Amino acid sequence: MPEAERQDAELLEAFNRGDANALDILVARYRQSLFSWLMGMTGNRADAEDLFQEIWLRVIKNADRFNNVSFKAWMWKIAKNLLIDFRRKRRPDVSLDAVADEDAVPLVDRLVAPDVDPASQIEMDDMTRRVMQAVATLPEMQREVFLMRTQGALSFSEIAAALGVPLNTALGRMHDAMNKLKKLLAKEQSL
Amino acid sequence: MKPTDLFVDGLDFGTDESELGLIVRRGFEALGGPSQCVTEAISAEARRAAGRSRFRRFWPSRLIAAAAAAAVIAAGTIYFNQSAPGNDQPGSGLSAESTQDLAVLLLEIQGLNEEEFFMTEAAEPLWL
Repeated sequence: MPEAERQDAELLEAFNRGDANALDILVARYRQSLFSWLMGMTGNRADAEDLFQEIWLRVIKNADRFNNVSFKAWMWKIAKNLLIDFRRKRRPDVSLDAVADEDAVPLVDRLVAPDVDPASQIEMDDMTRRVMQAVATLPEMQREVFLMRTQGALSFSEIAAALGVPLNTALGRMHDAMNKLKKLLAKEQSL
Repeated sequence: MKPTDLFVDGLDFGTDESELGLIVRRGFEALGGPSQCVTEAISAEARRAAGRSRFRRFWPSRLIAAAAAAAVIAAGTIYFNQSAPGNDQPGSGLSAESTQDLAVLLLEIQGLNEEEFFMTEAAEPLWL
C-alpha cells in the first residue's frame, strides 16, 4: 500500500480510537481537492459546500466500516453517491447541462468564494479561465473522471472503484475528456 | 471484438493531463475552498463522534472492573459480619435462630420470660 494511503488508513483508525485531530488532518488533506471536484461537478459553490459537509459527516458516521481499501476511492465513492442523491432530491429541475451552458455566467465567476481576495481572481489569467470553462462543458461522466484524476490525484483503479465501473471505462472516459478539451482549446485559439 | 490496445496512446496523455490538470488546479485554488463554518461544523461533529467512540471503548471495561470490585467488597463485608466475635449484637445476626435468642434474652433481662420461669419450676421435680 502506498505511503499516503497507509497514512490515510492510519488516520482513520486513529479517529476510530477516539482521536478527533486525526480526522481534522484528513479533512485538511482533501479539503481543496474534494471541494474543487464538487464545484466542478455542481457548478455551484453553495451546493458544493453542502455536499462537502455531508460527505465528511458520512465519513465520520461510517469510519468504523472502512475496510482498509484506498481511502480516496472510498471517500469519492461516498461523494459520488451523495451527488446522485443530491441531484435527485434537491434540484430535480436543474439538469447538468445547465453547468455546461456556454451562454451562462462563466464558471469561475459563479464559483468564486465571497471571501476570496479579488486580486487572486485577477491573477487567474485568460488561459486558466478558458480551460476551466472548457472543463465545465465536458459531459458529466468525462468531467467527473477528469476532475478526480487532476484534482484528487486518484489512480485510474481508484477512479474505477469510486465510480463502480471497469478500469477500461475509467480510462476511456479520461481519454475522451482529454480529446475533447484539446479540441475545444484548439478551436478557441484558432478564433 | 474488444480493442485491447485502445489506451496505449491513451496513457500518453500524461503531459497533456499534467499541464491541463495544473491549470485547472490553480483555477480552483484561486476560487477558494469551503467556508470556515463548514470545516468547523465537520470538526465539531468529529469531536462528538470521537468522544462517543472513546466512551464506548473505555467505559465497558471500567464498569466491569467497578462491578467486580463492588462484588468483592460486598462479599467480604458479609463474610466478616457473619464471622466476627460480636456478631450476636442486635441487628448483626441474620438468621431466625439468633433473632429468637435475642428476643428471649431481652425478655429475661426485663423479667418477663414467663415461659422459661414456669418451665424451670415445673421441670425441677422431674430432675430431682
